[in-house]
Amino acid sequence: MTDPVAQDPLDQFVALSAILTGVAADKLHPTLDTYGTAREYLAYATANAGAQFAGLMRFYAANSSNPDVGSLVFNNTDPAIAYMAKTVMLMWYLGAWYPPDGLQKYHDNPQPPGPPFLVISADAYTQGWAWRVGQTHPMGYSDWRFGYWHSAPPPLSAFIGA
Amino acid sequence: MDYDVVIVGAGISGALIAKRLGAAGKKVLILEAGIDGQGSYADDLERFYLAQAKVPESPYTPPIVTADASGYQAPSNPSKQAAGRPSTLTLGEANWQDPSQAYLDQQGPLAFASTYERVGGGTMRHWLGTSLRFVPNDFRVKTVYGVEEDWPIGYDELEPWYGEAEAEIGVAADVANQDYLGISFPPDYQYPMPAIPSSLVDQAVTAAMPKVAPIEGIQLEVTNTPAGRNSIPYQDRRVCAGNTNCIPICPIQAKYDPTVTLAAALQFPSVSILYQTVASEIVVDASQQVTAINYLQYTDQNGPATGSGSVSAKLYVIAGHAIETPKLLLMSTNGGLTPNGVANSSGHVGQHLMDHPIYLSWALTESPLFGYRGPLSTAGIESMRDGAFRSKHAAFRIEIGNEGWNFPIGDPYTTTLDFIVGANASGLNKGSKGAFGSSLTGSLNHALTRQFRLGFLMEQSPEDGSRVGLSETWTDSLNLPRPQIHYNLSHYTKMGFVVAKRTADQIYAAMGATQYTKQCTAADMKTDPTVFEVTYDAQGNPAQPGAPGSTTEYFRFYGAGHVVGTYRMGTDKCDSVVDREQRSWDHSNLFLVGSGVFPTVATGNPTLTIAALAIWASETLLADLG
Amino acid sequence: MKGFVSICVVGGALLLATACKDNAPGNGTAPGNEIAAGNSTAPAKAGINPVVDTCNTTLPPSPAVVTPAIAHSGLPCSLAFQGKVALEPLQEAFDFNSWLTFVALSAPAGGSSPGPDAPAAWQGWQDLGSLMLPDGAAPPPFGSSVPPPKICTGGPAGAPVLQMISKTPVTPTVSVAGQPLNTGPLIDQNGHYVRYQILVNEPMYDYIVANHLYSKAGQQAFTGTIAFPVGDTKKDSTSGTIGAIVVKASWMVLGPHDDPAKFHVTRAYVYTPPSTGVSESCKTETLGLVGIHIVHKTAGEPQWIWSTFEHVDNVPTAAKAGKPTNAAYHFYNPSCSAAKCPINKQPPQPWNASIDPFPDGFHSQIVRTTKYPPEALRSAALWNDQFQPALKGSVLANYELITTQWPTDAKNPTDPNGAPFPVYAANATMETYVQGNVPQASSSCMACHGNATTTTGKESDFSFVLEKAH
Repeated sequence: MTDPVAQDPLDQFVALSAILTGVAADKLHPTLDTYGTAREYLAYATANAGAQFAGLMRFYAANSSNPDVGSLVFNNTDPAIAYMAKTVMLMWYLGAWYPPDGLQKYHDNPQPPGPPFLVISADAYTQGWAWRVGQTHPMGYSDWRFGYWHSAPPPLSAFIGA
Repeated sequence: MDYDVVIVGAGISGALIAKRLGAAGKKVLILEAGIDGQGSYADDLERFYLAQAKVPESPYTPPIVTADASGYQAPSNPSKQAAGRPSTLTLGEANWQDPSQAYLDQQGPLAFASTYERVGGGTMRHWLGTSLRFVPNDFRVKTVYGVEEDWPIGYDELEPWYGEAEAEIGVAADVANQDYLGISFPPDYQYPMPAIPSSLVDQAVTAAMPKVAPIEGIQLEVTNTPAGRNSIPYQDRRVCAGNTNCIPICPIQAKYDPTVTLAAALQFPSVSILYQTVASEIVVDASQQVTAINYLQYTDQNGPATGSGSVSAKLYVIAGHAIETPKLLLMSTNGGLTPNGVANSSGHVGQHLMDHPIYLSWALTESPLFGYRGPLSTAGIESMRDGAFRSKHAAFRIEIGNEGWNFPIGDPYTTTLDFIVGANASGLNKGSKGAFGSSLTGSLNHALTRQFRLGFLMEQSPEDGSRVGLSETWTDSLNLPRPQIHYNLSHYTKMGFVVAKRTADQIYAAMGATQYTKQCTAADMKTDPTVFEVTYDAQGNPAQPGAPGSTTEYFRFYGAGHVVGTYRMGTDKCDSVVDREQRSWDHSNLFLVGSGVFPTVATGNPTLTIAALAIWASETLLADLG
Repeated sequence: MKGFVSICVVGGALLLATACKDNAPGNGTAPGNEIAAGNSTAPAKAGINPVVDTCNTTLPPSPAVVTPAIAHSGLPCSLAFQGKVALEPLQEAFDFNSWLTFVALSAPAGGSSPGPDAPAAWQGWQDLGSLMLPDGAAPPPFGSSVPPPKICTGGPAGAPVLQMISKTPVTPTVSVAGQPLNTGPLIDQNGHYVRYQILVNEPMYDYIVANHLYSKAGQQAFTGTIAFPVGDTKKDSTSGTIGAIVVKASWMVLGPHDDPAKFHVTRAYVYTPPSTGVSESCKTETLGLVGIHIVHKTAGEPQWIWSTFEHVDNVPTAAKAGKPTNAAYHFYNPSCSAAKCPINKQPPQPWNASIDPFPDGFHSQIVRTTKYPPEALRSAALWNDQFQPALKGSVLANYELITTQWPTDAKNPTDPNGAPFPVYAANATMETYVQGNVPQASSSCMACHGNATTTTGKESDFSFVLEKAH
């Protein structure tokens, strides 16, 4: 495993995101990354949750060689880490910023209309992974051809990678 | 006379009439309260993408939400909007009667749950695309079933206009499967475009139909839905790419919207339009002729009137949809000459407000049926739109939804949150544990690919109590009164929900699907103005709650966006507002068009019938002009 | 799988005129098989897309120095690239390819370049009006046109008929302009409508004719997959095939203040057909090229390569607009306020192209508003700064590459558009009112053209040409 301290912050962010989201790193951030979503999310998280996000990344870096690092992060007893991780996951899944404390409140009392969020950008909305995990596309953004809905979609693995 | 015809409203009716009159060289002015819908398409789409609540009104102006300093969106204040309109964000207990959030002054007892737009292209900007013809009995339910009202026109008369409307809009369907329940076509009739292919959801429901026992003697069948949506290139617009976003906005305009017809109308040199121009009074003289329409104009959508004017024509057409049109008529008191408003000698202006209240149900199938794909709906079950039961309870059509559980619970957001945060608002995450990695993708994939919903669009019967009036105290930023709404559902309508629920239960059982429809309770009714109670005896007749042999059920209803009835057509000037030509009984140079003329809401989505009637009205207008 | 393997086409397979290229699985147009890698199912008929030995295989020079010899080195059959698979080097390769293509196609057919301004090779291609005929008849031989309307007289022999007032043609008898979402024509500073042309090269023409795709009836009878022929180059050789190329050109009527020496010029009939409220008109004019799309299908880019150029004096960028300047633009007046000249707003209707100049003194006020990623901006600037001086003395030095949109992942199993980069791309003269960065609403060549079909709704390999058949 590469030395986490030397690893590029973007690569680190993508590596952790892949572990948490279950989507392959080269799908989240392909070599030819046309939308630059990973960079956008890294910048957004840094700008909007600076210290807490840095804490998450430090914890990941310190534990990245542990095969259970995903669980160590996601199930961390420190809510600052656990909910920051969930905020990151939701950035990828829904193209939206759900502040970590709102997620924690929702967890403790899940009432409609749900925790507060901001759409990160129009492009981010169109790149949301929740839809792809559902083998489909975001409502309002289809790259597909007329009539595609008449037949089965590609398998889940085609969307989220190996 | 400045013009041959002045039209208030640039929605489907106004656009179709303007196009026909323009083609005949008539001088037409359209007054549109909202902004130019064509030039704003990119802004509208961007507003949609950034909306935190992607409700039907979310792309359009004036924005239904305003962001706080941190960017979180909350309902805008309609008192500060020059041409506001209702939104589905203000139907909760906390805000449905709050003038700083809700546009409509709702007096209850139930909330009127449907909305409309005030923008170039009108409410049809956010329609789904469903282009159904009414069935012949829809026009004569009083004669045939002894309920509701008859229309002063019948299916056979309207039929040719349906064909014209289908050509104008561009409807995709196959005539071979559309001739049910008496619907007929001329020999060799072809829809403009081939039918939209069915979805996997449609196919799954279709496969189960043979296993569903007849409902009240009627065998249910799935039918492809005719749609104003391109299956081949049409009107220089692209074919559908299945963006699954028809409501609120098709990103590529494969779905027809009236800005297409409006652009064609404005190509005729004799047709012009004024945007941001709100008709404020219909001026009538002592001879009961309309002599002018006064209007206010504004530059800032949140600002005051910045101008005013008046325009005259030989003929006047009010096409402002079924709530703003009666509002305009009622506001027009002409200094006491028309104390009850214009065109209102019958007292029926604003009365019989109707919708298709929707019974919404949702379920999870055993095997994936891959929702969230294709147009929002491509098929339905039309079997219950007519039958002997109509003498006892409301008819309904069943809309098969292609968008998973987006409508019932706002998915995939809710379920995604459940699985990540560790909650169970969806009902799908029993144990409320959070998950990450492949465990998350597996669970979420399992859930999303098996979700689907059925919506039952109920034929609400016309009631004198449900009506549009003028708010006594609530105004907009032009200082015009906002509409006041009284709304309720009859027992006849509510019993339709009872049958709908039984039908849903049977369909899901036949599909082997697990139902997740949230059952409502008495407690819900106390706090939610869209929940009602119905109590009935063994014959389905009204009964007192708690009476022996009675059953009480609670239902939540949703609005279908089908606002009709408020200036209905009829044969008797004492209980209708316009005649069969959509001409006001009171003022021979005034026409009222749109869904407000419907004496009943019937059983199909109203758009095609609105369009057919508008094209028919333009022939009448041309005949009048000579 | 990381990276983009199929880009490296120096060494790609040769497409022989008589060989059948295998159809990739899952490539059909049956509903649901939405992923089309665009390979032909029809055997390449003899004569369509013949082998040539003139493929330009010049690699982008590094450092990026372009001599006149390099600038005029000829038409690439496919992309030449070596090096690290990353956005910027690839964008540079595509942008270099775009310039070579533009210069090569701008040379006169069979003539040599450089030379004085002369009709370009692409101007001898098949114009849409002579390809999709009103009665669905077979078009005349490649390079020949139907006679101009009777009202058009006095122009030079072979003068093109410029009828389109937007980049999307509507049916020949209707003049309503059709930019995507119907947003309107472009009016220059003299009040004239900009005119447009669509032309297809010989391989594309031959494919359409051989498969009878020039009529609705022919399209209905066609049961295969629409797959235009591809450009490809044999490894270590200049032998290859050119493949299908489409050109869309925008032309501005030259006014008294326009210097013809700064434009690629044509003498043409500016024609408006009759329709309700619009009288027929025809005028012989001298027009200057203000914009050109060149779209080239290659083996490595089955979603095509989309290059777009503009005249350097068309419009200011968003950064420049509003700042005081002495510059004169074709479609922007620096001394008109935003209130009087709202930016990027379509002309008021009706759009009657027979009324000339546009009534009430209306001129379009256009600003370049699509934001490009830094890699695309740097690359376009890099090559513009090299090619323009290398073309000194030629009118082509007055043109600039805006960008090239290309598929980064042509075989992506869940994105039939192949993940285009840059995501948004627009020519200010052709996608005037759909510039910007709003998904779907703002111009992206591949995202829009991916929806193209025949008149029957069958996928048509990124070309809207086929839907214009009668």
